[in-house]
Amino acid sequence: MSAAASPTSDSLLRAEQVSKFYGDVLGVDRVTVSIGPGITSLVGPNGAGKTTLMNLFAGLLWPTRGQVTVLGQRPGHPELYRQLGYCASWDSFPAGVTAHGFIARYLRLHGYSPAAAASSASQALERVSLSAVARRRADAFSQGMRQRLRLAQATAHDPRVVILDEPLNGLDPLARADMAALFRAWATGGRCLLISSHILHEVDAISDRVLLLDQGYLLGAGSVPTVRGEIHRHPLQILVRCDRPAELAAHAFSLPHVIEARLAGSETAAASAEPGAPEPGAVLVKTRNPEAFFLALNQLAAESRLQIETVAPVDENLDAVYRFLLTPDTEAVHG
Amino acid sequence: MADAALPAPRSLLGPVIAVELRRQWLSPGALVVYALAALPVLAGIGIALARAFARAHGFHTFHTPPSVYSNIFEALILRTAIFFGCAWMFIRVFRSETSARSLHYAFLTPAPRAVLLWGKYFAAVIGAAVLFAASTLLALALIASQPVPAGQAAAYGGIAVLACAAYGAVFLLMGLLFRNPVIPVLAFFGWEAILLFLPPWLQHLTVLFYLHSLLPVPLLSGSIAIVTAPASTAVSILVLLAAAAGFTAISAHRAARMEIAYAKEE
Repeated sequence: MSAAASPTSDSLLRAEQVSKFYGDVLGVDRVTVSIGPGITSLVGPNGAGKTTLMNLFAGLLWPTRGQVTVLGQRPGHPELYRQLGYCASWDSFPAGVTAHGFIARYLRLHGYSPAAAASSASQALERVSLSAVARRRADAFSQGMRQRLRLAQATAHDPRVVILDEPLNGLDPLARADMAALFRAWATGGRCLLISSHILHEVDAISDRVLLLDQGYLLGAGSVPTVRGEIHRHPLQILVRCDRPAELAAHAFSLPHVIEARLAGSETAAASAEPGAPEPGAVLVKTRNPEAFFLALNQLAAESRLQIETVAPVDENLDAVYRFLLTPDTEAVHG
Repeated sequence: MADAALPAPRSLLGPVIAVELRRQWLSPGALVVYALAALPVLAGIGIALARAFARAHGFHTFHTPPSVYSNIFEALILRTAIFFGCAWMFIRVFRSETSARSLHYAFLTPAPRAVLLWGKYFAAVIGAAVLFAASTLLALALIASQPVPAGQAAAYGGIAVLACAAYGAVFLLMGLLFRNPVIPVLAFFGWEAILLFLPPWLQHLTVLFYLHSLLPVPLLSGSIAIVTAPASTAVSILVLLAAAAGFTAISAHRAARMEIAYAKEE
């Protein structure tokens, strides 16, 4: 635990007594952390200060107090950005650009020649399986494609440190698995990935270490197995938008690890949903085994041609999990 | 990993300008400026057609003496087309990216913020200067009833370019300083508009005073105007360029400390 939070010689990202206030509002306060190679997840509930800390590392915000260094340099130093890639949480693109043009445009600002920028942009799109839509306008993409495109842009210049803010939001299960594998591949060779998430199951799947933030304070750091043990005590709620929600709800309800499945916005249990009833378009599934559910969802989509629009964890018990993790005498915080 | 062969960050000005020229001038937002630049040309076409109609029907053909063109240039091109065209374009240089939440992409590149800002400024000036200088010369050719000496035409074109540089730098800074720059723009417009009624020492604090000083043909002033001796050509050009550089340097300083906070942070 303390190894990740205290300065070490192989630190790539370091914050020392860093505080950030937005006027009177606290972003983060007196955060001291040192992050080395591998995948480190920044977890905490919404409003914990995860995005603030990432923006401080990226040089998009300046600390009110304290000091941040990335690869030994202060954020904002131009050379740093050759080795730093940041996928921010803002789901936005310059107006009117194509996927390829979007990546190539910013590679030009890294100093790539037009030809090199075009070539690297193509490779980046290939890594996230977007080559087929490279010439389509980015702002017309689905949420999952947009997310992948921003990931491609953040890593197109092959940075040594990659910071990703909620990188799996909006991705379907297959894309999540692909991205997790990609993160693992990036993390090899001494690269450092800092990934934020408020979904503990994501953290479980992809991280080497976890930093726990709450209300602007770094409460602890530790290994994933400690956190994992707690995650499985608490079911995860997943929202699935698809073309036949009633059918999906009925199927989900039959799975042994699913505790509850209901149409979103409806108090009616999915199992009792009558055929022909108006479908709100989404199903809320509560399960103790999300991986098994995602597998079953993929099978259902393949077998019955279910058109899945989005899959997003909506962990209503997350607060309870965090409360447990944040309890001062738990191993997760002090272990 | 980072490529050692890539250029130093300070030498990224060229790529920034190239990227910004496309972003700023090939976007729907630039249509407003194209329309404003077309205004003098349309006015010139109207005058040329009216003159041709009169000539064809044997009416008395009217002439536009040089001083009339000078006044048209000042009122229609400098005060209206260039002023509002530059206000629209230069305020949007940063604002369009913050409203689209895409400014952080540029800030996360090795191009220093100052280089980014100067690149954006130069791209806007290049586009505006080409557009409004062309508009000026076309309008001049259409409105003048007799061939205009090359020196005069060059002077009008040069004034248009300097106006774009000076007004552009002011509006760039306004776009960075004010959340809603409409009121500052209108206040600045009012300040420039009352130029001829300001005491001489205050006239020196307007952009228009130095642009007037460069006009090849003096303006026809009203009887209540406070006529001030124009500045010399060299002083006018230097003051306008220094003002442009000064305002842009202030903008660069501000951009260097800018934080990206499109919305409330987590």
